Amino acid sequence: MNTSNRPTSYPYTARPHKMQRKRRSAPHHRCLISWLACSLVALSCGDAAVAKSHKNPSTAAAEVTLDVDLGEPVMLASREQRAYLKISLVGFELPAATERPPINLALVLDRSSSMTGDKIEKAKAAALMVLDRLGADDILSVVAYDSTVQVLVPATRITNRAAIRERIRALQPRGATALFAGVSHGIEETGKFLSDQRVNRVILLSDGQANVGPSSPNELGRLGHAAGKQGIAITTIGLGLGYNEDLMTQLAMRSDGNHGFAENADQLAAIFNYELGDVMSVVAQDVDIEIEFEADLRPLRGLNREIEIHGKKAVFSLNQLYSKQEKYVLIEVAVPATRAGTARNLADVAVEYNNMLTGKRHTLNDRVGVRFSASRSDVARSENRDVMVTALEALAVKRNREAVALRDQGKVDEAKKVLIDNARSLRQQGKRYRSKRLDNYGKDNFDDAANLDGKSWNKRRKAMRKNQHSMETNQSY
Amino acid sequence: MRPGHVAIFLTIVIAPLAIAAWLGLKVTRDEQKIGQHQFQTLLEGRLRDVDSTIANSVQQAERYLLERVITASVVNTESFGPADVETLRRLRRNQPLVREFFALDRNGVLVFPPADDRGDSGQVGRPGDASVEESAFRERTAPIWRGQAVLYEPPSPERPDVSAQNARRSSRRGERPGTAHKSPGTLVGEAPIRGDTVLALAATREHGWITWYWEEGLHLLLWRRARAGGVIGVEIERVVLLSRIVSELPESRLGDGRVVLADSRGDPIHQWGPYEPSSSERPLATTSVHYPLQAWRLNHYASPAQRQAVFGKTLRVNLITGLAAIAFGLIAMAFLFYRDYARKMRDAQQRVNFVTQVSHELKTPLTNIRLYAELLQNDLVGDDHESAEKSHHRAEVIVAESQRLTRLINNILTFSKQRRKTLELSKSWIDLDHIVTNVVDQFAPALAAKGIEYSITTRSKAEVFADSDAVGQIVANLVSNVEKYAADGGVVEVTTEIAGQGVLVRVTDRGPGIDPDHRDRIFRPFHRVSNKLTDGVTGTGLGLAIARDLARQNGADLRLAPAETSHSAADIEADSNRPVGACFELVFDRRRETAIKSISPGPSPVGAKPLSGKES
Repeated sequence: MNTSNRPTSYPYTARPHKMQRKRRSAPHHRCLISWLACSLVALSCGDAAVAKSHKNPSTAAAEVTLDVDLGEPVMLASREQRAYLKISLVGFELPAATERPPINLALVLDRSSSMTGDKIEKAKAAALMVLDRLGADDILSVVAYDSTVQVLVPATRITNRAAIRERIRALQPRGATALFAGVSHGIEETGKFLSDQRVNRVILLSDGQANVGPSSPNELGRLGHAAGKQGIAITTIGLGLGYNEDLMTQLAMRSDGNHGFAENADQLAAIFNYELGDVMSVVAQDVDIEIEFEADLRPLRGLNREIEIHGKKAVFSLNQLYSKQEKYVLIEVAVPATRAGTARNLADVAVEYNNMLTGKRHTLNDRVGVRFSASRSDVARSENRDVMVTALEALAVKRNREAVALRDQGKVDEAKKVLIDNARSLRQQGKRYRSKRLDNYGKDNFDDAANLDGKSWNKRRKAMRKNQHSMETNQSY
Repeated sequence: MRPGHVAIFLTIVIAPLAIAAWLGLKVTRDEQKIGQHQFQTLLEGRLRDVDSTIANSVQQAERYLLERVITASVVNTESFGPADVETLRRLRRNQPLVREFFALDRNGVLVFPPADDRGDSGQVGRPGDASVEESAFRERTAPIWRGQAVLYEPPSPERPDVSAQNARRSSRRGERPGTAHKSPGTLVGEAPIRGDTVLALAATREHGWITWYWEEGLHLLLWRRARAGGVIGVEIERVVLLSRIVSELPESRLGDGRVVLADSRGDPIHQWGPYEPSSSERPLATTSVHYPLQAWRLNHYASPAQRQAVFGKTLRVNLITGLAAIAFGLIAMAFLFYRDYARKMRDAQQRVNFVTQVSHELKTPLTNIRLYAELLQNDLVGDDHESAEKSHHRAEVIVAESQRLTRLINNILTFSKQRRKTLELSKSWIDLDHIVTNVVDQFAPALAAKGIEYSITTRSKAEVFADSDAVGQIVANLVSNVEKYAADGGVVEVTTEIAGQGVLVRVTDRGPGIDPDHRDRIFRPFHRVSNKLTDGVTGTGLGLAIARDLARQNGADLRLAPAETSHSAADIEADSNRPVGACFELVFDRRRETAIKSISPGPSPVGAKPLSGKES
């Protein structure tokens, strides 16, 4: 990788670790503590979070867990078919709350006139809560935007809490929504202290449609993508029913940030809390995953995430991994017809990430193989339930997205049909795999189908976007 | 005020005021024009500063990319291989500013991004394992590689023309996706170069920009000549460049007015400043952005307050205050002129009255004197006892009238002497009672003729150091007034007495009294309660004025006693319908340094001296 000649002078350079790795020398001694202090943080993530620790036996080095599995490790012979490959990463457990990596956070707050009243007060309260929870090593900046943008608190170590608190409290709503400028300044402020030793993040709160500056979901998505390249994740929190959920989810998705939907201001505190919980539990950053398939295989698409595919090679990146949370990507692969009884290698997976405890770049490797059998029962018996469930869920989310697209075109009946079909098959599969998760999502789809019209649609759409995002990115809340 | 006066007043005030206002307005308008121009120049200067910030951002990006990312030998364009593809893909994954790389070999064939190996025809370049994004890039930039785009050389090193009018014409031009960017007028004179000439350009230049429209608008491609021949370049991630520019530009509440960076559709990319212009408002100043973003515009809006603060308000305020001051001055001047004029008119009127009165006054006694003198002449023809008696009476009348004429002339003389300050007094010790009695006795025939009873009560028994003629003149004037104006009362009482520290001569009548309105003014020269000649009362209006002046010159004072004091309570009770009357008091007061001494007590000559005899 051609990284040595990258300068630090230009603000929009590549991820920080690539320029700083060489300077790092002090070894970290936190690894032992990390395992001693295990099990302090417990986050429940349903089926998805079932951590598989058996592959990484308890050793001194805290490592991210990599699992590569096929939905059907035994495939039916003599016919071309699609295989689902799941690459799962689980963050190790952080030793103790005080040992967490320092945070470099920008709060970008909407102060447009629509925020008047309860909303701005609750937003301020949430911002103050964030301030209280951050430590002296952390860096905070606060940006407020209306029709123009203002950096309330430039990126700074939190030494003078009272002054920051005062500036947050003084916020008054006014004007239109210059979301782009707000996010730009958020990225700029975070960029001032950009470091692979910190958790670099922008939290964007908005309750309205961006109407000054670039404001299409695509543009903001691309901005998120670029922020992700720098190692900055943007978490977007939509407040009320007036914001643009497509824009907000795109921005979060493509920068690998979280997305929250607070229908009313009372929910803000909880969402900020969840978010801080995530931010404070980052154990790995800048995770690059490369999957090299065998020559005759052909990766088709990522089921739950956009991935880059060049021929037999698939590449994707995660901004960070959280402690004890599973993040995974599902890849659909075309497998050519093969004789029964053959066993063959399918793909090699290489993962590189920054370990926030050791401060070093770690590498993980795994490979996955497949056996072919003529017996359907063989195939069924070997089926990997977890992979199948997640893959079915990802496919269902895709159909859920299609339904939204249909509804956006005004084809309410068609959208309803897609959702109901989706729900039915989810219920069926839920029964087959005894998965509550699929079953529940089936119910959600029924609910979605019932709310495609009238007043409830706006709110429903936001909830659907939120769900799609959460499920595809394995978000903890 | 008469109509004539109004006209004069208006001419004096309004005409100069109107001229001043007109001139002032003219000056103000000129000043405003100059101010506006200066203001606009100022704003354009500011915009140029902003523009240089933007240009700086772009240059920084350009330098960074050329020096650190697309170095001349980052890939081998001569024999472009899988390793080179891998290099560019890795770079792309980590460079926020780069959306896509592209590479042309020395034949102008696009070797990166690779063509889709699913083999769609029409693609230039070698087949490869293109990702979705890479294929999309080939598609959207196809016209450039096929030689269908019109590319431009960058403008000369100097700034492109930023004249407001010139650029305004092109400011709201719609963007046309998929067509080559037509340069605004600023690039006139640059020869368009056809087609596959990214390579041709590279023959003449080391590196350059290509501006291109797709998706949301203007995109930039930066290319450079590769060491091994061919071209290597990047498609700039539009939003990142924007975001970069936005965070370099000023923050919201800085400055005043509102500055808007607008894209080629006129939609704001970024804005700052506290002022919110209305949607239809035109910017006060506008410039186009530096190459290669010349399709963008910078617009400066100014709030009305700001405009006024710079060139409107102060001038207008100055003008209004100036005009107000001029108006005030003119009105004051006109008022003073008018007052002066009115006083002169009044004086002249009074003089005319005076002359009339005096002539009238002089005429009557002279007529009488002449008449009686003629009669006396006739009477003396048949001289017998009866006619001798008659003669005596007529002589008496002549004497009395002569005395009146004398008094009148004395008054006039005294007045004119007082006016000219040439009056000389010869003071001596005089017996006040004696003088008063003498003077009043002289009036006996005149009073009797009007049917006025008079009484003299002398109780002062004092000598005062004063001019005897003057004192006599004062008393005579007072009694004469009674005769003229208070004959209806039928009574005049003259009293002298010691009162407090001084001596008092009081002349009391029971005539109509003095109207309270006139009490203050009766001592002014020429003032008369009634000016009508026809009401049968004559006079010059000088008597009281002269009397008081004489009194004061002799260390005394003459005053009009309050109405109640002129009668005893008993009198009022006796006849409440009786006229009020007037009471004048001549006061010699020791406190005013008048020398007074008492006369040794002797047989009192006191007594009422009613004169019952009436002239037949």
